Amino acid sequence: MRKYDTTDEKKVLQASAGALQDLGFTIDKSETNLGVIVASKNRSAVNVGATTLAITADLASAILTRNYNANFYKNSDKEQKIQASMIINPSLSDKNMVVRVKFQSIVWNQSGQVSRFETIKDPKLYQDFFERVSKAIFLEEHKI
Amino acid sequence: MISLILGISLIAAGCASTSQQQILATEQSQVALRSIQTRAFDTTDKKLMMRSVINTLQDLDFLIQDSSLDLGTVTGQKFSGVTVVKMSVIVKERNAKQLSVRANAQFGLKAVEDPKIYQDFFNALEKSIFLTAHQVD
Repeated sequence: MRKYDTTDEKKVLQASAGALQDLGFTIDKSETNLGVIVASKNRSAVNVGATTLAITADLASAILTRNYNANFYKNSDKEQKIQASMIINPSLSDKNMVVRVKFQSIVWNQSGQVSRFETIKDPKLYQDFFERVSKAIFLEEHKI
Repeated sequence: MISLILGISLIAAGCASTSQQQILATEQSQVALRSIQTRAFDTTDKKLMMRSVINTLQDLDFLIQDSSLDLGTVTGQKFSGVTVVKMSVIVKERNAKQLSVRANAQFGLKAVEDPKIYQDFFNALEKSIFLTAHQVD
């Protein structure tokens, strides 16, 4: 959550949508009357180190047991969908805008099953994100 | 032996609900469910109520997926371990002085019909909007 020193809700909404787009998100839904923007992006979740290890484990098991039925590669991560939801509200007491954001990701493995869900809670990610929003508001003010 | 297997499978076929029956199935009656899931608030400011609902859901770890001021709906999703929890809230005018707020949640593959969970949600919403949530029946 961050407060921005402006009462122009439309400007903050547009800057927030801009920040999301800068990060490669596509805007899925928005309700400007309530200050809600929902965006997502699909990306690879392949971790090169882990996948290499998985393939090696599969090969090793195939050679040792003379039978290919290991699932290490099939269970390794393949792709993820990252969803972001931004909420922009006028602050009740002061004359500023409060911006909140939340990120969640769903990861699928190589055999198409959902590997895990998580609500992302890393503070650094949110900090970086709000820095971008600040930059976007600045750019919006100067009509870039 | 064969007749035993046949007997059990016939009974099982009779007891099992088909997937289509799930479309209209609920555990509680329609009236009981409304009463558990709905509260009335002494305000007519729909926009402010909706913003409070959105912030309350966000506080409860939900990610807002959809909202509409016209329909009065807000929908969110969160993960509890490996289960996906989805919740929808709808805000409507109840009468000249009140709004009604109805929440409806699903935990994985089951509908949430436990009154305590909805009570917890309305407690959080009350704190967010500084108004009392009245029971409706």
